[in-house]
Amino acid sequence: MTTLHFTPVVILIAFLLILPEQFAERVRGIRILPLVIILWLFMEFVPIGPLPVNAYLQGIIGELSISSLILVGWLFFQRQTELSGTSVTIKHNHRWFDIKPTMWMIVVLSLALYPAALGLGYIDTYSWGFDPTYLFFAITILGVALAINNFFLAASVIALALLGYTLKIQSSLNLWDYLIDPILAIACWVRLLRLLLKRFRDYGLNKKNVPVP
Amino acid sequence: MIISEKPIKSAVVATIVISVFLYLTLDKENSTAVQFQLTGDLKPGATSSPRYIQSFICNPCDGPSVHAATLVDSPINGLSAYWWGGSREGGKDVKIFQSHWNPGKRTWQETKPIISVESARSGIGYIKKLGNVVGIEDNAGLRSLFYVSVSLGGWSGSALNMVQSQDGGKSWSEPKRLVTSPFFNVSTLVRTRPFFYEDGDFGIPAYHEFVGKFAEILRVNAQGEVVGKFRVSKGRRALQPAIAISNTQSAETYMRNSVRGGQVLRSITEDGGTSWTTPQDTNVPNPDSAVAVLRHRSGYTLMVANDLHKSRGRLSLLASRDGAQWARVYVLEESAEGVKGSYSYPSIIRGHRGIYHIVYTWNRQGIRHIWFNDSWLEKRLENLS
Repeated sequence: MTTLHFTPVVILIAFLLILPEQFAERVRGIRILPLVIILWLFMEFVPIGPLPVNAYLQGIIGELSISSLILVGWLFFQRQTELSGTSVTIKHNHRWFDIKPTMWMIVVLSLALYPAALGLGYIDTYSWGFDPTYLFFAITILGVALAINNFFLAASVIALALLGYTLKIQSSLNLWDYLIDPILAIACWVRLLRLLLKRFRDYGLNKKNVPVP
Repeated sequence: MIISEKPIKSAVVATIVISVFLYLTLDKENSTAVQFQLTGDLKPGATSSPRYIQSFICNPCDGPSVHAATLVDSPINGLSAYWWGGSREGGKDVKIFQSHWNPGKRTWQETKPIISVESARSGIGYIKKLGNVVGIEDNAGLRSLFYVSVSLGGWSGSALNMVQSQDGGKSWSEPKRLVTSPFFNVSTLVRTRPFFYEDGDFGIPAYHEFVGKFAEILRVNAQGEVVGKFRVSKGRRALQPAIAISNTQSAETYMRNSVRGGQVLRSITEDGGTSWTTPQDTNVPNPDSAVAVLRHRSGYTLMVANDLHKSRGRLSLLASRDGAQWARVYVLEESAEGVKGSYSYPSIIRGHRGIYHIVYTWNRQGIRHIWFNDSWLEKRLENLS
């Protein structure tokens, strides 16, 4: 039986997200969902050389995390609803929409995971994810705290990653692989660094514009 | 569209609560105490006159470049050797080969390719090249091979895969990719023989070559899922851990030293491999080359290694009682003066018939096989003490 590939869906949506606004406007007109499905079917079943595109993607980058799927899916949903003029708002609370806290969370998790996994010391935080009772409950507490404080997106990412792990919906038995992957970590680092740089620049410009008394 | 926050918050919290409930009811495989399974390596063999025979499994072999031979043995399916061969290391045409030992005729049967780049892609995705293979067989005759594949880049981009055979290597299952690393699941390699834990899980000595070069032990269940990982070394020095198990809790590992001019490194565990001591130098020189080890019932540990600092031109059988100081038992192979020979990547096993088998790469063009019996070995060990 042909194995269906999950990772390429994330890549495909991410690719659609980085397309220019004009293109996004246009594909909205021809209904995006059927287009995504057709593209995915093409990537899954039409061989380019000996293998279909998805087999290359899956072979090279492995499996992405549930967090990636949720965040990419959320951004895509948000953009499509905005383009169609029916953007979703939640009563009294704009914080729920903000993706920045989730990106900060991913950045912190990446700092906890990746340097130790490189073999720099004897502590291997990745190995904690195989027998993860402490890690599981630490992440659970974080998820509940985020939900109580109205960080909807970050709490959803944690909730679905925990559920995915307990249901073993991916091939990994390591909790970390449900929470984070390198592509997501790099994307969050780049986005947040750009935001910080912009803020720093704006701060500099504002300082210059301050009239001398 | 305006929605109320309350149902969303409730759904998120409910999902977390359900996850916690499911987690608490999960059957946690690796929560049992870690213990090694002891093998038949230590049983006494039949008494007979000393025998020491040197031959080739193949020379020349299929493909001009062959390397990294390993051995698998069981009372059910007998002894087999596995290695990779092709036009060059990392070539797209490299395949994994198999040959069975005929104990009656004391010869190797015809070599057969069992895994190619094309067959390795099945159900996995794109694979560019194949590398080292190691294997083990359980008491029920289920033979498992773990092999390295690369989809992108060099060996630092490698992943581990598993295939299994119920019929002694006549047919193999679809490959399964092991999830071993958080970096795109890359940079995990194998070279040295796996072992079994008491509960039947595989212990796979592995190493990384990405930013760091370090050794670790993977615990893998029967379904090919990684259920644990134990770090043996850190930094950029110790690779290819070869394990010698003493009892259910104690083992030693001997590692290739990737620093040229270094010594074979040694680390010890007393808790079933959960924690390992900081690797220490032994007195065995190592030219950045793999070693193989085996426990002997006399209390000695045996090692097959290139005991030189700069070349793989000599391969020796060594023995030690304390693991730190080693003495040469026998020179298995040595290049003549002025000839640049390479005898590397050994694998040693004591078969179910009590015979010791060693295989290694002979000048990258052949797979050499040496076998000897207890009488031959014990005579030489007596000379040491």
